[in-house]
Amino acid sequence: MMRRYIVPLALFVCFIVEGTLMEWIIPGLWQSQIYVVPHLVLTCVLYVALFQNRYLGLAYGLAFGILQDVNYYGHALGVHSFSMGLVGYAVGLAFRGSRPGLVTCMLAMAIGNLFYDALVYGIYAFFLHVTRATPEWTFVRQMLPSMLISLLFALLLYVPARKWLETRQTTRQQEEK
Amino acid sequence: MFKWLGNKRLIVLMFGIIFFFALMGLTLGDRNGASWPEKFIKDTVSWVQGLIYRPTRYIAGFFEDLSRLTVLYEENRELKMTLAQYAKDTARLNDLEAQNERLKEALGFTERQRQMNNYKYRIAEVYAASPDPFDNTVVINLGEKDGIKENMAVMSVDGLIGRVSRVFPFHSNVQLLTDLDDRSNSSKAIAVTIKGKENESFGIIESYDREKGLLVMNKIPRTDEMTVGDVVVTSGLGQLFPRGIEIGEVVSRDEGEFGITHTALVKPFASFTHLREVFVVEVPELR
Repeated sequence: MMRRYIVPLALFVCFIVEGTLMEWIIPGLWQSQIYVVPHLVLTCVLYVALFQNRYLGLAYGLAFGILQDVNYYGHALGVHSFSMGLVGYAVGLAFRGSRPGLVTCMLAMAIGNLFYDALVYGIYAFFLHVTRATPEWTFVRQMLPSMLISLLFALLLYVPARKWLETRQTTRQQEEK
Repeated sequence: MFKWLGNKRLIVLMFGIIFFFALMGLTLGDRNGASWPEKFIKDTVSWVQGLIYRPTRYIAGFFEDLSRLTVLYEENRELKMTLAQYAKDTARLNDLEAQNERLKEALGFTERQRQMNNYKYRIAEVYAASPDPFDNTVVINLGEKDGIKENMAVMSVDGLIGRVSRVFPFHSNVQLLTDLDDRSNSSKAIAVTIKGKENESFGIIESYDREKGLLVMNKIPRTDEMTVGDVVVTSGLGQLFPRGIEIGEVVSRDEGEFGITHTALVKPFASFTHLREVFVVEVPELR
């Protein structure tokens, strides 16, 4: 019975950790000169999209995006839910049907994180006009370091994700293809 | 018509995009209060964050303390000397205050004018910080039930940090100064002046330059006498932020955007990362 709820629970724990522990683990120097933001929740949602199906990825992305939007309401509702849902679905769609090994997973994580950061920055800068940072500055200072740190967390989470998410049903489905 | 599955997905995507962009557009900027589902979700999640912030702080503090032992000895010594200095200053301050009260009585000040600078500093713990770099918000553990209202100023020991942007029953969101942008609907500019030249200097802090890490102060009259190194404090003229809260020091001053006024760059005193305790400034109700 516990097995069924382990994924939402783990995602909720990741969300809480992202808001509280992350700020203290990342060294202060990194936080002021480059904006390093590890996207823990996004990484977990991408794992769900990769190892299970993309509709689940979309659902988790929307749900935890809404949680982040309501909790840290800054400028507008919907930015994170839209971006997380879309990225979860897109990565699930791009990597469907294959049985992702380690390298493919990391590639998917890197692409997903860059896409998510680009979406969020794009919405904030060009649609809502709430930030003045140039795209080049944001890419070098925020997107690239965040993606690398998120890759590190993805690597750490690879084995648990594989164990919990890849059920016998999905492996049998993929083997039949 | 819907033979290919691809077609239906595109329609769903289009509706999703329309819905979300409409939602973002409608919720941008000022919103009066939070709806009850938001209040429920927020207080639940923040309550869980409140449970684990103490062990989190303990873990982080442990590593920080290990690396700072030698620095701590030096700091302790410096602080003891500063404390002795402050003790002397306090005696003089008490004397001056007593004299001020007597003179005010003599002049017949009304009660309202007397209470104007008696700020109450409510101390609050920072539970969580937003993981989004473009949305600089922190969550503190004082809410509606503790008497916090929107637009109250929030400061740390070093200086102004931000203002309360949203209030929920048990927690509040604080928008940091690093979120200020003059094009955005959800940030409010701060009217400031220079400490020591309160009636002569004027400026407005409108935005934060992320690339340089400095606040941008606009609309300084050309004849203003502010120089590099001056301490910038809130002036209270904007009726939003109370008077006298330190913000930072002037780093440079040049021609403004349109050539009519000057623009200065201000380095904030407070640091905006690794916040632990902050003070919410409560101004007594003006009658």
